[in-house]
Amino acid sequence: MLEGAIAGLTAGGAYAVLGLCLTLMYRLGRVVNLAQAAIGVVGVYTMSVLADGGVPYFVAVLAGLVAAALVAAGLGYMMGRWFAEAGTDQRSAIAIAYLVGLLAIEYLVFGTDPRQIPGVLGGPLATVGGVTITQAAAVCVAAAVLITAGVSVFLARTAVGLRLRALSQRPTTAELMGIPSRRLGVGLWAVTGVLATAVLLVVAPQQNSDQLSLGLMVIPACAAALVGGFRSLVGTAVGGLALGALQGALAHVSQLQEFRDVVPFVAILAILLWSQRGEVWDAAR
Amino acid sequence: MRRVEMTGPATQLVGALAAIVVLAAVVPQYWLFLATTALVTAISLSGLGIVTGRAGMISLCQMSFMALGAWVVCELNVLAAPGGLVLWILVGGLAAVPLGVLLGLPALRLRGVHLAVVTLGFSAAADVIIAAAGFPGATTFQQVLRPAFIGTDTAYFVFAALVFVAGAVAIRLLGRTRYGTAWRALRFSERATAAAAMSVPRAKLAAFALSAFFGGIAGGVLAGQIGVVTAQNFDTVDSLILLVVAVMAGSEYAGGAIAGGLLMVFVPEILRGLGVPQDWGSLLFAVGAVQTLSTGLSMSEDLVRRFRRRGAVSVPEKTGRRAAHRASPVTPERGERPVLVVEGLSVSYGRITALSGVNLVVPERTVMGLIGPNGAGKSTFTDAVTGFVRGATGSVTLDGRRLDGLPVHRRAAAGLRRTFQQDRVPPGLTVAGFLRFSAHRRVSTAELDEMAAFLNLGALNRHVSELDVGSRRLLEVAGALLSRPKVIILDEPAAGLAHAESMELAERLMEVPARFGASVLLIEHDLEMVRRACAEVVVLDFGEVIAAGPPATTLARPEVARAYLGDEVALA
Repeated sequence: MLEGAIAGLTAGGAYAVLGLCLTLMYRLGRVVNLAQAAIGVVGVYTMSVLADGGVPYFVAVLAGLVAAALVAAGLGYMMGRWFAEAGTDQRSAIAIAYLVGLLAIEYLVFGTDPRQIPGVLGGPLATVGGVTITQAAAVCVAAAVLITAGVSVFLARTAVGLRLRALSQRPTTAELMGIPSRRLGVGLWAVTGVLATAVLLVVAPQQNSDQLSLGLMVIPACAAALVGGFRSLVGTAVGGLALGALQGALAHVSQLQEFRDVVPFVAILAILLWSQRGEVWDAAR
Repeated sequence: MRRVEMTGPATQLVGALAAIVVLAAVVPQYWLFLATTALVTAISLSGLGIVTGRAGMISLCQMSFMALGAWVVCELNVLAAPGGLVLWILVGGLAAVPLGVLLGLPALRLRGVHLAVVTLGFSAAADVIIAAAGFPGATTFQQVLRPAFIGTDTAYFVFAALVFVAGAVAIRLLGRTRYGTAWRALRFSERATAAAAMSVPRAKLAAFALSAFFGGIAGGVLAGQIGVVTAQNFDTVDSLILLVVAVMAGSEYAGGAIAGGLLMVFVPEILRGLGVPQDWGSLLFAVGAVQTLSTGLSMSEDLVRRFRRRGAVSVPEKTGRRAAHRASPVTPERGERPVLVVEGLSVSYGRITALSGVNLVVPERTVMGLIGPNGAGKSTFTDAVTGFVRGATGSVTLDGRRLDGLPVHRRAAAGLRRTFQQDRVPPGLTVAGFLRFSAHRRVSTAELDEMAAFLNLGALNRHVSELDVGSRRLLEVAGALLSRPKVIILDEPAAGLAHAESMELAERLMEVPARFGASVLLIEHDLEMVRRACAEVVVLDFGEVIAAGPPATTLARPEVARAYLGDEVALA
């Protein structure tokens, strides 16, 4: 059970990082970007195709990160250009269309055959008290912690962070004050695209990695972001790690093994119903 | 006008039936089979059109409802249940209803993106469960048995088409009921929907239940068509594509649903014929949906709008002054018997007290003013009395009946109506449509015309979106009055009106008690209007009643001037 929970931290770290991307995009970009993981898939598959073609692993990784950044920036540009004044709901509906479109493009470009994603973090890192900790799990947890800390400091302490916060709350006012909204928006999409790719590069070699199952990792990531109320970065990271550990533990209970992927839905529902219990009406007044 | 008659509902129905017969006779078997699949998709899209298109709630689990419908049909087939396929399909549709209601429950608190996340999560979870449970008869390749009369593919096409048409007719009829209007109103404002005496939870759950029912039916028809169903037929991604197509085609209209069904089946088929990978189809739909959302017009709405523009009738300009002034009472009159009694009404938000122990009595057939500076608690008072604020203490009695604890729509139905400071009239409705919805009873066209003349509303067939904000306010007042309320609370009805129009509204309000038997509680900043219309005023400041009585004397009191203008002025 504990072994399972520890193993689940690999996926948990991925949920946490993807959830952090979602929270950032929601807070700063006014969108629940359901295409977040699918953007990462672009990077992972670009890397995989290049590596299979004989390109050295780290060069391929770099190319994958660049590819994801470009695709994300392109999507962000369209969002900023055509839907600058649209509300969160509408922008999120666009993100659903992005998800459908990206999955289609990924099948077209990379083919529909399942692919073994190469990776370097295969082995165990250490064994503590009979429980094995894998390198991937350690890296994912560390990434979640570092990104949470880094982003928090960035938003609170830097000028660009301040501008981003201003932009998210009053886009028009911020623009009138001379903040280059579109460029910052595109940058935000690119950065979250790179982060999503990076974490998926670590997890993809460890699991069933067809485009769809990687792309739908956005669902548990949503659950993680909901733990933080799409607001708190720490809450999101903790939520993601906890969800992964829970799923991993359930994988070791034979009766529930088949249904461990139902956990994100139950988690989403429970958290939302609790946090929104007072939201009887659609408008404050 | 002839054009309109030619496209009337009956003609459309006959045309659709004729098209089905012709298609069944002419189209080759292979294409007819695909067309049946398109119809299955169209039935499912019609359901999605209710939740997403009409009520504006994003639902990403339509495929799960289809899967349940198909599962029930397969199970009944394996059990060799009596009744045959047609009955089984119906049972499958009904079986999906509780699931729809269950998923609608979160929608009572969750909106927009949150609801999308929940339904997507559900869809993925349902995938897991379906994959684990499997479809009955799938492993043994047990075909779903069709009765002889729909045994051939041609006959089954006709059957599927008739199911779609029946569904389209049902949706059309439903669209004319209060629920149909409520879904469109809900999308714009839940508060306004409740204020028009419609239960918001019931309307939302009904939308989800119907959507699930159509999904279940579609799944059942699919099971009958392909015989052996597997989990691959109902993928999470298909739910996403279904939503994207519903948005693009505008599946709240029968034409949009059928267009969406045809697109989803024939675009990949044509691509396959051309030797192009079918995934281009999904990409096309994604681009189409982005395009639709950027223009705000689905394929169907685009067509409807073009058509309407072509057949547009010239609307007579709103006449600035009315032709004949009716005699208004010279002075406002005050009734005796109390109709609305508010006692000890208190509301606090955290540590801030918005209202403390407010007592107020509105006599019958009286126009009463409620005034006070900004932040005095007037709107909180309105919200609390009409049931929008939970946790308000004190009691509200309407015509001898205690309203405490009743939800908004029940209070509205009991005869306590309100209007809003913000623009809350759903822009998707026509003027007449809104008035009938708000009236909450059968009203004749003559009554509507009379009301339009009384408040100078202009042509009844215009869309609310064509009206300016001031006219929308008056429309809201008109809708509330048509419901024959006992008391109507107007929250700044004259905001957005020119001064002359405000004074004219004051004259009309003075006629309301005699004409409609209702009392009016008028919240207004325009003191001249209050002086003209009201027999009595109550002044609120910092959540407490500081003065009450006839306007002339009350407004002259020093504490009222102080509340409005500050100490220095009052003392000077």
